[in-house]
Amino acid sequence: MKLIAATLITLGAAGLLLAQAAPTAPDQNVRHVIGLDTIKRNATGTLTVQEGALRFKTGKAENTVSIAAIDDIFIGTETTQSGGKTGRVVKTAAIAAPYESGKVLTILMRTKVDILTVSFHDPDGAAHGAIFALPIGQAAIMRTQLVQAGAHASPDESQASAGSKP
Amino acid sequence: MSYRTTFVYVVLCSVLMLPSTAPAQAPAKPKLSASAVQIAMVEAGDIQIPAEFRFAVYERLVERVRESGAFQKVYRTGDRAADGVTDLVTLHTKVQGFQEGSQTKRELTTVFGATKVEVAASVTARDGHTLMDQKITGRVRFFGENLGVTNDLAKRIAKLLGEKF
Repeated sequence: MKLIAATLITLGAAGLLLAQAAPTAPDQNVRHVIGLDTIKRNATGTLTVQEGALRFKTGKAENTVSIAAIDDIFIGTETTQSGGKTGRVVKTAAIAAPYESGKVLTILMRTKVDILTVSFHDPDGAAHGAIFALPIGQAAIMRTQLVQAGAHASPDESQASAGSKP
Repeated sequence: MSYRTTFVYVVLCSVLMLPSTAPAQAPAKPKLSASAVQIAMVEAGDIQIPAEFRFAVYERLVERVRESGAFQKVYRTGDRAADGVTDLVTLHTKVQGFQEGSQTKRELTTVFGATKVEVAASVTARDGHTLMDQKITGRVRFFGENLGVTNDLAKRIAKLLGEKF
């Protein structure tokens, strides 16, 4: 009996350690707000730092920005509506609900996101600004990854972008 | 002279005098001309505005001005390809006011929570003289997230450029 208990505890501890050590999968829920030429606005996909580039990949398209081309990185927050396009349709339809009860959806469907702004230049020197909406808490992690990979970022700019009101 | 003749005489005189008394119509201002425009990065000056708003205005401006078709070429700031263009004009936008609202308040009350960005938009020629200078305000009043204000502002600036060029 003691042997079974010890085995279970050992297995449990090992599982916990493995879970902590495993690399986190890239978040599939990053929204491209604007700024990448080959990606549609409001497309969702994954944002990763790989092979010296910032990669944004959707089901149909991919765009990379070389780390060396990044001039600055800013983070901020924004309160927006969850549910994407479907959420917008539902909210629009709810306007017809009696006694303005549809407005309850506004409260229920609000969500806070991080905003990551990456300022970069193309091979001709032209300035671009790519803006992404990430799940809350992810922008700072992404910024750290980019800086560790060699991206240029103003040290005090991370706090410059104040959060938006809900 | 009968009353009838007097009346006809007065009416005739009035009709004849009309062209001289009517206000002279202002001649239509000739449109400015340039084949290319370079969009400068949005300047914040002393105004506290989050970076995402500045960059979103810049990106939207590039998009909207391209769509407007007012210029054959639209260059971004820093683009070396613009160096050789002789009749290049530059669009400058400087933020003069920013009021960040709240999407939730807007949608619940429809009166409060508007987001507003006020900019001074100016166009300068290569020699530095100002061709156009105007104050423009972008707003988001009801639906949409705060960043939507950048689209409204860019739309207004692109429309103004379409009218002037």
